[in-house]
Amino acid sequence: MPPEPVYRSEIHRITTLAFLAAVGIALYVLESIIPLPLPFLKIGLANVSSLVSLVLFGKGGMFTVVVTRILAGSFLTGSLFTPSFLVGLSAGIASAGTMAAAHALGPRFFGVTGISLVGSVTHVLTQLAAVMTMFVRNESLLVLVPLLLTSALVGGLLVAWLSSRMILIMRKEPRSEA
Amino acid sequence: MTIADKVLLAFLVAATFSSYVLVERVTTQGSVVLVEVDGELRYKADLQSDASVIIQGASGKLTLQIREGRVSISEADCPNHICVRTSPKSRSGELIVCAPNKTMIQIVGQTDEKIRAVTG
Amino acid sequence: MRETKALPRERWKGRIDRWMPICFLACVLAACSPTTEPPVRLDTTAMDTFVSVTVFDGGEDRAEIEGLIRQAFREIGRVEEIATDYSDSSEVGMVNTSAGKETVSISTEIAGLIRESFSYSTMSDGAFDVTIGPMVKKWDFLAENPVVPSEREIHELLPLVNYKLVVLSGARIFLPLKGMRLDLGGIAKGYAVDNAIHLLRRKGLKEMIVDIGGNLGIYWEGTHLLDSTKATIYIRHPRRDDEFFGSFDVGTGGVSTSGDYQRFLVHEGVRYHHILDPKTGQPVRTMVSVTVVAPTATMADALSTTAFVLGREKGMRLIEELPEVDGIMIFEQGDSLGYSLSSGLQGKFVRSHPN
Repeated sequence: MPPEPVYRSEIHRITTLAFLAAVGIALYVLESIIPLPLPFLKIGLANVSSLVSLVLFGKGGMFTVVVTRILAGSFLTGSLFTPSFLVGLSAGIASAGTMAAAHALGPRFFGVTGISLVGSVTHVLTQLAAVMTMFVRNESLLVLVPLLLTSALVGGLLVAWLSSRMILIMRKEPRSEA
Repeated sequence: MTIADKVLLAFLVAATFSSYVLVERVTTQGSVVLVEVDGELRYKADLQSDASVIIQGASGKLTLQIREGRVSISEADCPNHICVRTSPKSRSGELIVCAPNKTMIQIVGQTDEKIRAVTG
Repeated sequence: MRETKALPRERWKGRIDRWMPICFLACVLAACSPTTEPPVRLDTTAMDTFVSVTVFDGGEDRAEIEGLIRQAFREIGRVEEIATDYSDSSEVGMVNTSAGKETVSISTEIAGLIRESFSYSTMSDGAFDVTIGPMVKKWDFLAENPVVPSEREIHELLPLVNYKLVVLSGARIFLPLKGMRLDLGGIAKGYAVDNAIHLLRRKGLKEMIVDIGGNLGIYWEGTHLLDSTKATIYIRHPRRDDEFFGSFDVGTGGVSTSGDYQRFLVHEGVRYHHILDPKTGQPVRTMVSVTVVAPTATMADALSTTAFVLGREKGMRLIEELPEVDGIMIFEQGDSLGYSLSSGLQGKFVRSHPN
């Protein structure tokens, strides 16, 4: 089901996507500054931009925003081409994929909350799997699962709330003639 | 929220809760420090004996500190130094990871499900 | 979040009724996931000591594994029969009764084992010597009332203890002096352990521990000695029966310990134990316990005795010189025990503390 067009022209579409990507980058960089017990334990605030792009622009738009956000965000935080970049990239793509799938089930199935939760849990578990296969090969890393799931839950709900507010605002944007 | 949303949320809450329970069951007071680099055991020590050791990681050196029954990393050759910022660990199952160095420091309890044999 | 319209209730109700129990069940199953299958373990006695074989392979028929372990027991029994010197009809027994008389034909198996023993004799300059038989017999630790032999008795037997005198050619052996005796006690148990492991491996098993009186053979496919952390080996405390001295992790390999507490007699307040110096006929006084980790149990068994006799410096030097061999040497230090580790065990040995 095609999403409601929230742009008036192709230029508007591109700039809106760029705006969303920028939001994602900003949130990502903001998150990186917050010190946390484990290197990859992030609340996933940047997912707000992915989720909003998904709902407003469909999965094509979302993937554009996600890849842009990850590349630019990693560049800015200095983790481009580092091992943790690969972890972030695979987690980002995996969660984007599952969110797209959840979204494709139809708006009557999963709402924003559901899609966000699907995305955050996928993100967190993919991160763990990536670290476990690429770096530290030890099953005891699994003791982190409860902690990661909790952050995914909390993060997912927070992202859902923020995203739905943002979607409402963006849809209400007054349309004026170009 | 759709009903599917609520179901998913409920399921995730239950899954998170049960994962805590599972991990609790496997975790006890730690007594041995294990250091693994790239999956290989490099160093093993008593959590109760104070020590300061330099470990060779995959891309640099790390200085391991064991003091007062807690282990931490005091120095490391890695870009983000997250491992150094981590608080000292003492409970079984707790971990300190330095991903760029592929190093993992783990606390293990005496009665872990390890296979054991006696010689002597 | 009101961008979705709810469907008529009837359509949703069916779905919840189907979903909830499944989700709940999934959670319950996740929480009660089965742990790994318990290993199969059988015990017996052989070679005058306790024997235990534990197989960790999962997914196999338990009865079948038990059958294979019993086959391993029979193999251990077979090694005991040919290698023991307590029976005149065993191969070694026959060699001993022909000492000073005639050459004896033995199996290539025993000849090989004797040759391997000689290699340990050569590298330790005689600290390990399977011709120590007459001394061991004189001390007779397993007798009802063991007696400390006199200096003169020991002195008389010294000329008989010398591996260089043995004439071994192919599978024919001759002990030139009457009264010479071979005693494979310092290597036979390790050899039996290795044979048991080989048998179980040939039958397709991949994860096991064989224990003959503290001589251990560990086999775990894909692992190697101290590079792996498959099994934790605890060293018995030499002076406190129910405690451990320390532990370390190993993968595939052999572990053996020689200690002054394993077989001994106390006479007039002095402890006389069963690890004799072939050059003096007396128990070695400088060491308390030596544990060796080596690629095979045979090596570990022989080397633990060898290093014990060689003492702290020479023993550790030999251990360090041999590739893939490591050890812990425990000795008396004032009122307590001190220990030294070979370089391979640095950072891998954990000293145990009483709870």
